[in-house]
Amino acid sequence: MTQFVEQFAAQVDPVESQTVVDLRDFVDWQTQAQDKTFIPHMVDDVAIRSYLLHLKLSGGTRSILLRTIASLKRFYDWARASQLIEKSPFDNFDFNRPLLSREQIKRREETRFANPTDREIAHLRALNHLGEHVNRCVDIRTLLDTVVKTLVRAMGLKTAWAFLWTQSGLYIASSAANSVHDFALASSCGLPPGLEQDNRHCLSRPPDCHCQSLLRNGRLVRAVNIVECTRLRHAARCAGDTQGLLFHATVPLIVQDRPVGLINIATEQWEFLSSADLQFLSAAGSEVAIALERARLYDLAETRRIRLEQELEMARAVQKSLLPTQLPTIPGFTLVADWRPARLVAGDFYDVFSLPDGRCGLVVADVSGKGAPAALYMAMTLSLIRSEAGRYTNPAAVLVEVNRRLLAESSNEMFVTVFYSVLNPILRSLTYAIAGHEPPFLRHASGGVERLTLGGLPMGLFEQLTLTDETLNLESGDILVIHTDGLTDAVNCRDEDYGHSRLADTIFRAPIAGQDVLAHILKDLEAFAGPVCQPDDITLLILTKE
Amino acid sequence: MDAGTACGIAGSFLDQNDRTRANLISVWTAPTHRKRGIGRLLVNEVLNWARGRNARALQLMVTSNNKLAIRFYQRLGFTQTGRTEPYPNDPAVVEYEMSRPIPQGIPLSPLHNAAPSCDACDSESIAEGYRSNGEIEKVPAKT
Repeated sequence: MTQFVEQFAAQVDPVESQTVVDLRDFVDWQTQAQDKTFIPHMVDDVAIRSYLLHLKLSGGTRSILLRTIASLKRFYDWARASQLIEKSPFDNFDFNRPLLSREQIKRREETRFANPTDREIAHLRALNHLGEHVNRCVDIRTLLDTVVKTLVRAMGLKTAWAFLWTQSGLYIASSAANSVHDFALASSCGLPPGLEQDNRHCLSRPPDCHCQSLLRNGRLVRAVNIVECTRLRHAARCAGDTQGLLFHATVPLIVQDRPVGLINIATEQWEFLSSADLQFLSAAGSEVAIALERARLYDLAETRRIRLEQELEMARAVQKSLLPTQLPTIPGFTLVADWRPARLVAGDFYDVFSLPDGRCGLVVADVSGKGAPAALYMAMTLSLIRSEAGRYTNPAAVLVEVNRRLLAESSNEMFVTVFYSVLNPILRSLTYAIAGHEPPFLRHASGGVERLTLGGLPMGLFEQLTLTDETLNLESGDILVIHTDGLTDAVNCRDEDYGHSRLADTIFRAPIAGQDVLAHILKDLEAFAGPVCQPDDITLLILTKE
Repeated sequence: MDAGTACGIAGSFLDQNDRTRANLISVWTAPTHRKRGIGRLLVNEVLNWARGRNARALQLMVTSNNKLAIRFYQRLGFTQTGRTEPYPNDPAVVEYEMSRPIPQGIPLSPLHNAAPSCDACDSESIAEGYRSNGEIEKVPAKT
């Protein structure tokens, strides 16, 4: 027993000992129900109504109820006078008003359910229905629409609505975006005209009503039956038709001890719902809260996915803008290219740029990395190659310097394989270096196909990078096919890879002109892979000596 | 290394939140040395490296449609953990997490736990770079 009860008992006249007994019974019941020390509070009306309902369902007569109400009123009046509480629950609420007789309750119960088993079946059916529907639903508004309709049907009632506490971070209803109140009316059904009028102003207006205040203060932890609704009262006072609704049960929606909203089911009498009903509503509330959290997480993931997609679209646009829009015309040579990104952001890139003395730089590369950082890495590599190509004549020297700068300017979890060559059209020579990249195939005018053998480590991983230059003298009719491993790694529906042998054979059998070689390879690839979605980007740059 | 030439690279780092887990990243096999079991040698070297640092599991991410890589890692004892992540290059595709336990005891020989045959799957760059917060060590393959 708490100190407050003892203090109250000490100043009560001994002839009024029944008052103290009634108070002790109430406090015992509440301490047991809430599992915490009793401290009187101005919002104890919910607890008082729950207790009165408990007394009635336990067989308490009307006179016992009236006596208990009087005893509790005396205690709360004393608590207010002693400045333990600012206001008494009895200041605002008339607990005598809607008391039904036991016969009335019995008759009403009989009209709802023929026997208790029917009630259990109805509750289980409703829980099952909720479980089936809310688990499929990831849209919060649709989810709550289903919930309020299911609950009123299971209760044999008509009217319910749901508030979401926008500060909980769960949801901001679009209709409430401009509202000054942080409880958004997220769903409703069967609202009487008095609540529908003025765009449901009575339900959505600030300040907090009783149940919202209880939820905000953490005093609403399970379904309660007996909240006398100030919003319904206000609607009735404003000459609105509330169809006699005055009270509602309130089901709190709590996610991991965090209140996120509540569902109200309106009734004409405060003792309409039994403890079994409340138990059902609490169970339903838990189920709905989990579904709401899941919907929130889905929404979060979806938002992130969309943002990532937008970022990648931008990265892709940047990547495309970096690739040559038109290949330069090189006297005596033909250049054709094809670039097929497998995903939104590609790892492959190619570049062709002019150098002093009519020379021309050719690059095909493949970045190993993911997402926007890899796209930036590609842009950086491309720009570094162009920049260093102006400073060094030999491709190997260019790549070694690019490697040094890549290491200095980026993290070491990405790397890039590069084929870089300098074409001198006058001398008909091509000097190249390879950093970890696929060696190109060279088809000689005489008909033979050879795979260049030069190699080296990829760039961006090691400070020590040793690369060498090799020079080819191109004869008329020679064709150089520079590619990325996405081509030779292309797979078909039998999970076979395209492979180097098939590529060499295809190049060997291709018509002579460069454009025709490209078309021939792509046609053969399509014949091999069919509609199979390829795991890697494919890039081809083909140089033909006319 | 093959006659002084590097023929494969693999990177690994220990998970910052759980040092018993190592991550396999940045695997590269020289184009001239593919389909020769280099990938298996690299993974075994990484397993030895990670075991020396008391890691109990080696894990990696692989894109869902890279069937050759998935099959390659399965042959090396990796299994899918069930965890997936959106592929950073395209959220419409997912990446699978794969993991395998790291045997304690004697170091793995190059042929230990070998795939019966990796001919078809020990192909090109099978794992792409991976974002990490930890220090990456690069392990060259030894033959």
